[in-house]
Amino acid sequence: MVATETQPGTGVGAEQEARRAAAPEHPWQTVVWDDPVNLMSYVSYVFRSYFGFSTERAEELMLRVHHDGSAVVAEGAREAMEMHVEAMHGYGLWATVRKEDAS
Amino acid sequence: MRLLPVPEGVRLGLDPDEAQLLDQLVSQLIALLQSHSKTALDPDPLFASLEVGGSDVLPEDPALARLFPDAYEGGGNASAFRRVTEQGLLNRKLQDALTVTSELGPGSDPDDPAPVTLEITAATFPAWIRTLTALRLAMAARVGLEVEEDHDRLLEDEESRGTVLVYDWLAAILESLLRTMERS
Repeated sequence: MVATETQPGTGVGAEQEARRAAAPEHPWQTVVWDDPVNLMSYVSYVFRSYFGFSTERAEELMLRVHHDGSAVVAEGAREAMEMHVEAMHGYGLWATVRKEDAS
Repeated sequence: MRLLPVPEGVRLGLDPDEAQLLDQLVSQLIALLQSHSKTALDPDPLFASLEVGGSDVLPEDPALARLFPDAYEGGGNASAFRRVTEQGLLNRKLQDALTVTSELGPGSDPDDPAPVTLEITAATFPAWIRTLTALRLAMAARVGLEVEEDHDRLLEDEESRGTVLVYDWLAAILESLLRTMERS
């Protein structure tokens, strides 16, 4: 799976490593997984309405879930990621919390 | 099924048999959720949505397992998290489904041949789309639709064909609702 950022325009790879080192208190991610049931339009709607993403960003993440099998849709403190995952389950999306290092 | 954007949201028109079918399906979903519930639904929606006391293992029933998936890929964390979140999640799904049946209810009289018209507002829209999604997830789990390729095979299989047709009909309602709500 391709590493993703919650902020558009932020780099990956070395930059992510640096950011991880600089913010060791934020090593958690919300991962949304592809499933054969949920409609693309619905997943995009959930990303927009719950996370407040722009249409463009929501579509991009939805397509990433669809094509790559999963996408990181948020990063931050563990409690916040758990809240997001619980909300995703409320919408019927398949989501998990994981430590950034595991990706 | 007919959808029309109105100032308050979406006007959904259903034939009497469509309304009855949808009402039956949502009632079945409610029964499924209640079968997994550990407590009576708190009449106060806030308390109900925050309630703890869920199970700590992934449900054996595939439909329930899909509605209440593990929040962590590894065992211990998933169990601990499930224990404090599952009942609240279940109660919120129940509330969503009850919102839908309460709107369908009055019109779905089998002796009344008139089409059912109801208005879905910004306030009830999330409950509607979450419930339609929960129904599709449960039905997919029941017929074993696990990867996209399963769909066409299950549609051709006589045993699952009826379920898949209804599943696709629910998808059409959901898709139209999302599109129409965006325009209203």
